[in-house]
Amino acid sequence: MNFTDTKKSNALVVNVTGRMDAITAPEFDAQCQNWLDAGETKVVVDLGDLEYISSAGLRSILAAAKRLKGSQGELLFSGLSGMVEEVFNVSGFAAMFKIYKTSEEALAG
Amino acid sequence: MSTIRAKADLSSLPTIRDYVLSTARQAGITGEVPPKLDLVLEEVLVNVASHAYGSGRGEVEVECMVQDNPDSGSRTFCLELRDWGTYFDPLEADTPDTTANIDERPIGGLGLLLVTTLTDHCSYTRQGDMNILTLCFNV
Repeated sequence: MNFTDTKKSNALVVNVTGRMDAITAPEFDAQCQNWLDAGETKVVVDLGDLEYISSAGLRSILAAAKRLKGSQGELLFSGLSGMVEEVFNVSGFAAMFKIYKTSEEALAG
Repeated sequence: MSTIRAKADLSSLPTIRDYVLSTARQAGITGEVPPKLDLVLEEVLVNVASHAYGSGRGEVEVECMVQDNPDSGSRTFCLELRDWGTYFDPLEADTPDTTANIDERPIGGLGLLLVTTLTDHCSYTRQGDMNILTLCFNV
């Protein structure tokens, strides 16, 4: 799994690529800690190039969302498609989080 | 068809995954089933790795089976997972409330929901000292 951060005026946009599975999901937890340490509170996670996510990935995302919320922050998502979108729908994450088509729309919303 | 046996821990996931996905490919299975297989396999293997043998070590066996039903012309690709750990029926577990909000949502518990939603049929049996989980996809 790889992360590319882009700092915008009111948020951090993070493009996540590769596979978010039971082996790699802890990397997401570590990234979340980096965002908090850097004082980032609004984080747009773009999953447009994420190939795969399992419940281990959902677990890390929920843990990150809880921690950001605890710091008056927010986790938003964009670019969901295919199986990643299906996993978000089945788990109810699609309804629980703010989801946008693109990261630009997430920044505007 | 064929079987793979490996240590029941997370380090076996890539090897078992390669085996299952290449077996499916050789059976001519394409489209939306392989990504579902990929995900369901991880969820059930993680379960075995975390629950079957407690803090001890053990093995897991995965068999791929293609079943043709000549009457209906339908075809099914099934995975059978076997382990020799403590009795554990993952299908008995409660599924979480997927309508809860971020604060109320407990961490975890979504793996089984994904398994039951993405498979077309799944069943569990305990045979002697063996847990057998069968997961089938219409192809």
